[in-house]
Order: sequence, then structure tokens, then C-alpha cells
Amino acid sequence: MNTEAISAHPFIPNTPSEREQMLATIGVENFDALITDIPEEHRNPPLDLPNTASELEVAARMQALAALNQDAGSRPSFLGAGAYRHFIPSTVGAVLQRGEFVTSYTPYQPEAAQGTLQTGFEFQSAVAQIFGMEVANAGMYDGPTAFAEAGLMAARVSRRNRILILDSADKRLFEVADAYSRYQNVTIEPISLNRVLNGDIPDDAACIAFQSPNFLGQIEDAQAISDAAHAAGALSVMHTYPIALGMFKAPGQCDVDIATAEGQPLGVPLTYGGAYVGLFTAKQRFIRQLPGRIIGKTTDTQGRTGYTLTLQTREQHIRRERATSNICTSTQLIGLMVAVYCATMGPSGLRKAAELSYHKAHYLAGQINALEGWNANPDSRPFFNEFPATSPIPPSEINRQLIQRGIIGGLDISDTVPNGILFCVTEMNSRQDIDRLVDALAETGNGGAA
Amino acid sequence: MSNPVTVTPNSSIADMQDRRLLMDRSVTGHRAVQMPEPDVPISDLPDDNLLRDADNLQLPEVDQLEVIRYFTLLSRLNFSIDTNFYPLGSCTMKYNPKLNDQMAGLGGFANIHPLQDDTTVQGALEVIYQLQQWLGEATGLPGVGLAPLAGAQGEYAGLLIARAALDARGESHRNVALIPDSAHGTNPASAAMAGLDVVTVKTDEHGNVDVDDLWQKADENTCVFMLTIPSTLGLFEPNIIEINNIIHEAGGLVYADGANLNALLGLVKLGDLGIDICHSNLHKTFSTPHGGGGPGAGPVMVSRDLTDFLPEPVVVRATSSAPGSQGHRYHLYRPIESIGKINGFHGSFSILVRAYTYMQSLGGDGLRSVSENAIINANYIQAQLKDRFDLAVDRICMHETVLSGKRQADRGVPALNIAKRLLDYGIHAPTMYFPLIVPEALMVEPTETESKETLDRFIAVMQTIDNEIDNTPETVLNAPHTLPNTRLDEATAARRPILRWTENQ
Amino acid sequence: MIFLTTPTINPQRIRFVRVDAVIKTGTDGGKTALYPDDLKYSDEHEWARINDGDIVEVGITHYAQDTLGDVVFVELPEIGSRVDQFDKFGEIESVKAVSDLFSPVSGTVTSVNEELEQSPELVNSDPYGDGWIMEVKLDDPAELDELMDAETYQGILE
Repeated sequence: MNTEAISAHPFIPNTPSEREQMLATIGVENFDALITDIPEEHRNPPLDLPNTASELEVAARMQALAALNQDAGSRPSFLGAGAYRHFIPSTVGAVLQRGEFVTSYTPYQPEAAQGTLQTGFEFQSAVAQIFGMEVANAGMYDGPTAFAEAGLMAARVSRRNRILILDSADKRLFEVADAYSRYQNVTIEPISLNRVLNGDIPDDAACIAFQSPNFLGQIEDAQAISDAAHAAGALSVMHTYPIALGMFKAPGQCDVDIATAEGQPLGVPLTYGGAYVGLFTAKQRFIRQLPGRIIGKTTDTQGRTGYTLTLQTREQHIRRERATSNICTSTQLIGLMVAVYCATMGPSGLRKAAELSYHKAHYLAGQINALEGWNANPDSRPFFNEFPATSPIPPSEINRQLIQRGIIGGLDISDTVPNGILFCVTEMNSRQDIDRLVDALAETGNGGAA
Repeated sequence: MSNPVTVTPNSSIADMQDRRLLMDRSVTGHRAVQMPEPDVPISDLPDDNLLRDADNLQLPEVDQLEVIRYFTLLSRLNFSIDTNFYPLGSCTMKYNPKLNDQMAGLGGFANIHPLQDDTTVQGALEVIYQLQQWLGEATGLPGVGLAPLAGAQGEYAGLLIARAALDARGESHRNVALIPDSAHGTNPASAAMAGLDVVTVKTDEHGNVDVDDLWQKADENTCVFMLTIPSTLGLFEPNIIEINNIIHEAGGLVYADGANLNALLGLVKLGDLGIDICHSNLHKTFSTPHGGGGPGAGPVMVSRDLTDFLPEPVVVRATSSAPGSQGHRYHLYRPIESIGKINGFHGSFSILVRAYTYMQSLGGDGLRSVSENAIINANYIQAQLKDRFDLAVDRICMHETVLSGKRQADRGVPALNIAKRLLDYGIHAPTMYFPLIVPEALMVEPTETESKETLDRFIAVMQTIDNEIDNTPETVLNAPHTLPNTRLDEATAARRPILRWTENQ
Repeated sequence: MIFLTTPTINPQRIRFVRVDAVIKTGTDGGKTALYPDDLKYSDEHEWARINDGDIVEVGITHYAQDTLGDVVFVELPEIGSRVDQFDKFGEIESVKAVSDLFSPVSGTVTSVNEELEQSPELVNSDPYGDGWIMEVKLDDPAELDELMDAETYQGILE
């Protein structure tokens, strides 16, 4: 090994002579004397990896890999289904340049982390406001894990063990809830909207959990579902889409007990599915059953306002195996992006993002309906910015041809809706993009090759 | 009419800071962004009972400069690696190379949708595939799942894998997790989530697992033994082979908590020692930023015979003759006995890009140098502070040293106050009161990215504080003195929680 | 009371204490008054006071509140619920510790101290008075013989 070369590594400052000095101070002859506890026969194994590379080389290699991807930033895209391309104001990226936020740890020393704590408090405030809910925690891993934890929390609060999820929810929500609850003595079961509205709810149901807008983008009647859940002594758990709350009723206005969402649409790029942040809100009276980190406002010994982690006894580092969850992150940095996004957009900006998405999606649905052999939003239910459409030829074939035309099409949902495609439109899709898609669909749907 | 603003000069930076929340800065009509008007015809809205009144949505109204100035101010209230030495034990606060962030921000990575067709995201899939290969090689555990979003999720995934593997052997009755008393709190919390009963294993006077105690507790109900390696005491377990044999003979599996993997790169592979499952925190060992508490990534690594149980998805490489495929294609894949999906999509991809960038910058030789220098730096500090501070265990440590402030506590100043006083010297506090078995613990992890000069200053500061305890104890007891806030009233915060902005608070 | 976290490592205890108070800690400052003679004590650090015949008032001892530090939350039992001697009936939390509460007697809960919901700090400031936790209608007075008097209890604290 070339020690000289490695000692010059930009991330490792010790030079060979400094190492010698330090080993002498420690009182050992050489480095190997420090690792004698490692069984000798397994010490210093060969590592079959390339050697150190320069920044220039690594950057070139990564840029080449990035260039192999067809990104939604440089071509029209109509994919949604849990991850959404919305406008991200320049302030978000600017604040994210601050190393003081990026390279700090969890704020266990509040005096040295007021920046993290106060932005976390802003995040909780903004999320609670958007949801119309009384309290929000400081963030979860992502939307589906927040939803899974909400079901488990409902079981703790109600002391019941059947988590019923409306069958119109994304199957990912079912899958993650299943993985989270496998050994928790609870069951995850689908239930239909008809059963819920008819009051056909088992008396040991912990909650009725539902997604609105649901997987197909349709708005569920949150108030009616909450009323039915409460009549059965169960909690109401809603998983939502925060941009939609810019124009549609918030969970807090519909007597929902716990509400969650994927926070990504609020200022976070798609980044192939992560890192995102889960939003988690609840009624005030449940705060001691919340999972995850919570930031509270308080005063210091001189009477000045300050912020600190609070209600920590719920968490794993204190309650260990009896904690409300094993989570020990709040995905704080993504929460910061959400906080800056909300501050920048304000009430009118968020509303505008919602309205633009709504009107553009409805424009696309209308244009598709005018195409021969196509049917957009076949159930004719109110929707936000996503809707299913049925196509005259298999969706896989349509999407293949769209890729060739430089368009990322909708999600193939032919496993649930025959010949179904789920289209998503946001404020990022110009009328020109939409018209280009419609033209392409007209050609591919007629069997025309690209 | 004149503006009724009163101004007074302030003596301290802390008092000059305007800490008002955004809602208290809000002025109706201010805005920080302008959105375009619709370029499509306006559609009908659905029933009013589904819609939200405009005045129901209360968010701050501030101009763009206010947004930037406010968040920039808040950033300056933080300690961070970019601004301070941050020897926070077990957290591996190493330098986070800027190239990592730059690469994660490339449009080809940042703007791809998780449900895009595999053929359109071959570069992203190659990143995931290569990182799987490299982490497998570094740990000697070739089955790698990158889906877990944090260490605790990696742990939970690992435990689900252990349970599924034992179920497949017809041994689903095994419901006990053996966990050393020095373990991090997530270990028992994750075990409880996986439906396992926690049985605690003692630590002996040398800081090692009490092998006799383990021997007695490992039996036909043992599902898994969860071992942090090196331990939270910063020690490599010398009886590791014997321990693994005990567990395997009892029919259980050995889970290694890889939180401290920064001590082992190129020095030993967990798989070679007989470990079955481990996780790694990419935000520790592989330099991705902690972000004030996430996001992280907690890949789970398993031995070859457990790969079918990995969480969905993993990336596989298949030969292909498709145009532009260079002979192979990458695909997302659900392992046949998979424990399932533990999160929405494919893991913390933006973090995976950073870790892969980092691993390329270091290479195999550089990774070995990482662990060597992390160990040298920790021992250098330990050797020079052990005359003033008790050691949890007086022996050579790995990448971190656990001091005990017992002597200082006996002189009237507990470890908490030493930690707070360090902040006044611009050094972040070590991890305090952990591991739980060490009284007045101060856990110091310098990492390999700090220079000898920085370590020398830290040592001098610790010695100075030790002197202050005798000479001016109140200075230490009431620290910090120089930060935006003095000690915060955490009791009132928990008794009467204020968790969000409200109008009259 | 069982400490789920090791009480000796609870940093909250010393959080707001000034130097002069730290020096006082550990001295025997009128210990007898800290453990009233008219109460019975359990080795889990709960006390029981016999009021009007078969109604017993329950709280935690000075030692317990001092070890916990600033109490921030008490999980109270429901009125009418059953408690059994030496079995868990609730939880008590300080900022960074959680402990189980164990009933010193068996019986039915007749009232709980709802003041603690707003002001859990009463457990610290007045553990034998305003910081009481619950009243229990006793099943069997003979159970009281299982508890310690003040002197014996102080003996186990040594």
C-alpha cells in the first residue's frame, strides 16, 4: 500500500509523520498493535474495490451515470401515484446550501442547535396548518411509513387490533402497513367504502384508514368516513396529498383523528423515490401516543424563548422496547425543505399550485375523452390532479411508444383497471406538453408506430 | 405617522437576534413567489362541501428576502461539522464531502420518478447495483438491501429477515432477542417491533460480552443475538468467534449493529467472523450528511443463504442484447422470499448517490485508511486524557473512547456540565450518559477527518475545563454562556407542550 | 416503582440546581421529615396513608421524586378500576426517564388526583400532600402488614 498517497487524501489529514508521533504518544510501536482484539486470521482481509479516485474522475463517472437516466426535468412527465413533480422555488435550494443545517446532528444539545429546532418548529406549525390538525410531529421517513405508524398508533389509542384500510388506497400503503405490523398483534384488512358508509364496521376495529385523494386521484368524503368510524368506536385515519389541501377540505375540518401524507410534493425533488419526509398529524389529546420526534417551545434560564426536543419519554432512546416506535430520525433536512417551501409559497402560492394542477389535469382528461377509444375518469367521480383513463390498446405498448417520443407517460394500472393508465398533471405541465401528449396518444392509440 | 419601533443597542449577539416566528413576521399581501396564471381553460369545481375556504389556510405571508434572511439567521444558531469540531460518540460526525451533494443534485438523479420504466433509469439502477456490490465486499456479507431509510429501519428489516429465515426452517417459536446491556435504544425497540422478547446480556468488567451469561441465556428460543461491533464502549469484542458459535449452536442468528463500522473498513469483514446479518448507517460511516436528524440510509447486509429474504426491491443485473445496453440491463427485483416493502419506493436514493460517490473517492485503500486513522485519533485523545478522566474500560479503544466524568462529578460537576462547557469553547459536546452502564459517560469519537491540531486543541480544552472545576466551578455549572440560549426549561416544555405557532402564545 | 432508565444517569436532576444546592446534596437535611411516620412504604418507593377506615391514599416517596427529577407526566388509573398489591397501575415520567407505578395495596380506585394533569410538578413539591396520586378502597387490611414503616423504609435507602 502506498501510505504516502493515502496520507495525502483530501478527507484524511494525518501525514505519515503525524501518525508516527501519535502512535508514540499512544505508546504503541505500530498501528497493528491497536487492533489485536480482532482475530488474527481475519485481520486485514483483501478488499476487492478500486483504489482512491480524484474528484475530477469521480465527478465524470457520476455525470456519465446521471446522463443515462431520462429525467422528468427535461421532458414532459405524467407520472404521479405517490411522488409528484411540483414547482420548487429557488429559496429551497438556497437554504439547503447552508452547511450549518446540512452537517449538524439531531438536536440533543438544544443550546447548540436552535437553528435546527426552530426550523423544526416552523415545520410542525406549517404542517399542522395545512392539515388543519392540532399537532404535527417533526417528520417521519416517508408517507407510507407515516401511514403505517398511524394505524399502529390507532391500535394503541383504541386498544383494538384490527386496522381497516379502505380498498381505494394505494397498494403500497397496504404493503408497508403489513411489514410494519407483522408481529404487532394487529391485522391489516381492506374494507369497501359501501361497508363503511353502511355502518358495517366490526366492533373491534381500531380505525378506518383511508387515502384521499385515493390511489386513482378521487376525493373521498372524509367527513362521512370519519363519522362512520366514530359511530363504531374506531378512529379515523386519513392519508392525504398536501398540495390538494390548497383547495380541498383539510382532515382537521372533517373530524379526522390522525392524518398523514408524503411530504415530498412540498418542495422536494423526485430523486427516484427518496429521501422524502412523512408528515404526521393528530388531535392534541393523542400527543403522548405519537411516534417520532417532537419539538416544543420553552424558555431559557434568562427568560428568552427557545426550542427543545420534548415528550422524549415516548422514544426509543428512553423507553427502549416499550417505545411508541423504533424511529430515531425526523428526516429533518427534508423537513427543512418543506418549511422553506411553505414559507415561500404562503397561502396564495399553495392554493395556486393546487388550482393549476386541478385545471390542467381536468383539461387533459377532457382532451383524452375526445380521443377515439379512450375514456378518462370512467367513474365520473370528483378528482384532484390524477385520474385513470382506459386505452384502446395495452398501456404497456402506449408507454413504450411515448418513451420513444421523449414523453414519460402515466402509470400502467392494467392490473387493477383493464387497459387502465393513471395520468397525473401538475403546474409543471404546460399546455404545450399536454397537447403533445394528447397528440401522441391519438397516434399510438390508433395503432400508429412512432 | 411615525413608525412606533423602539430600538436599543444590545451587548450580546444573542439579544440582537430577532427570533420571531414566520407567522409573527407575516404581513397580509406580502409574498415570496409569484405563480403563473393558468394556460388552460378553467374547469368546473366539485361540490362546495369538498372545498376549503381560502381563509381557512393560514400560512405566513412574507417577502422573498425575509425568507432568506430568516433561515440564514437560524442556520447561524447551529453547531455543525462545517463550523465546529463535533466529537459526538457513536454518531461518526466526519466531514461530509461537498462532491457528494453536488452529484446527488445532478438532474439525471434528482429529477427521476420512482415509477419510471427500468429502461429509462439505467444510470440510477447501476448506482444502486454497484453500491450493493461494494457494501457487500466491505462487510463480507454479499446480500445487500438498500431499501431501509435509516439505521433503525435496517435493524427492523434485519430482524424480519431473521424471523422469516427461522420460520422457513420451521422454527417460528424462536421469539427471544438477546441484547447486551450496553446496546443503543433502537435495538430493543426494533426487537419489540419484530415481536421479540428482549433478554439482556451482561457486560463483563473488561467491557466485553459476559460469555457465561450469554451461554446460559442462549437456548432453543433464541431468535437472534444483537451485537454492536465495535461495542458502544468503543471496543472490539475479542470473543466474537466464540460468541457466534454459542448462538449458532443454539440455533439462532447473529445480528451485528453496524453503527460503528467506521472502525472496521479493510481491517476485518463481519461476514468472515460468522455474522449473519448487519446494517450500516450510510450517514455515519459513508459520510452522508446527518441533516440535523435525517435523512439517512440503513442498508441491511446478509450472508448468501439469506439473500432471498431481503426487503423489496434489490437491483439485479441481467444480460441483454437491447440496443445501448452494453450487454446488460439493470432491473428492480423482489427477492422470492422477501420480507416485503418497508417503505414507499426504493430507499433513500439521494443518500445512496452520496455514499457511492464517497466510496469511489476513497476506494479500497482509502477506506482502510479511514478506519486506521479513526482508531489512531481516538486512542490519541484517550491516551492524553486518561490521567484526568476515568476511562469506562482502561484498554486500547477502536474509533471512539468512553470517558467517565466520575472524578469530576465527585468534585461537584457532572458530565452534563462538562459537555455544556465545551460548547463555550466552540466544540460540540460528546455523547453523554451513554452507554447506560457507564456512570457520567462522555463518549468521544473524533473520526479520521480531524487533524492532529484539532485533537490537540480538544485535549487542551478538556484539561482546561477540568481545571475550571476546581477554580471556577460555577462557570462550568452554568454553562453555556456564549450561545443563543442558556439552559432551556425542558420540564415545562414537557408538562405544558407548545408544539406549533398559535395566535396568542 | 421500577426505573426503566438508570436513575443515577438522569441529567435532569441537576439541571437547574445552583452550586450551593449541589453542595447540599447528600447531606442529611432533616431526613425524618422526608419520610412521615404515619405512612406505610413499599420497596418500590410508593407510600400509603390510611384514611377513614378502608380508604387508602397512594403516592410516591420523597426519594422517588428526587431520583426521577422534574416530573412532567403522571398516567392516572381510571376511577373504578382494580389495582393489585405490588402490580403496575400507571406510569410516571420525568423529562428523560419513565417509571412504572406499583400499587402498595389491592382494591378499587375511588378517586385520582386530576390536578396532576395540569401540574405534575406537585409530585416534586409536595409528594405526601398535593402530589398524591390515587385513593383506593382497600380489599384486605391485612395487606398493610406487607408494607414498611418509615424507619424500615429509610433503612433500605441507606
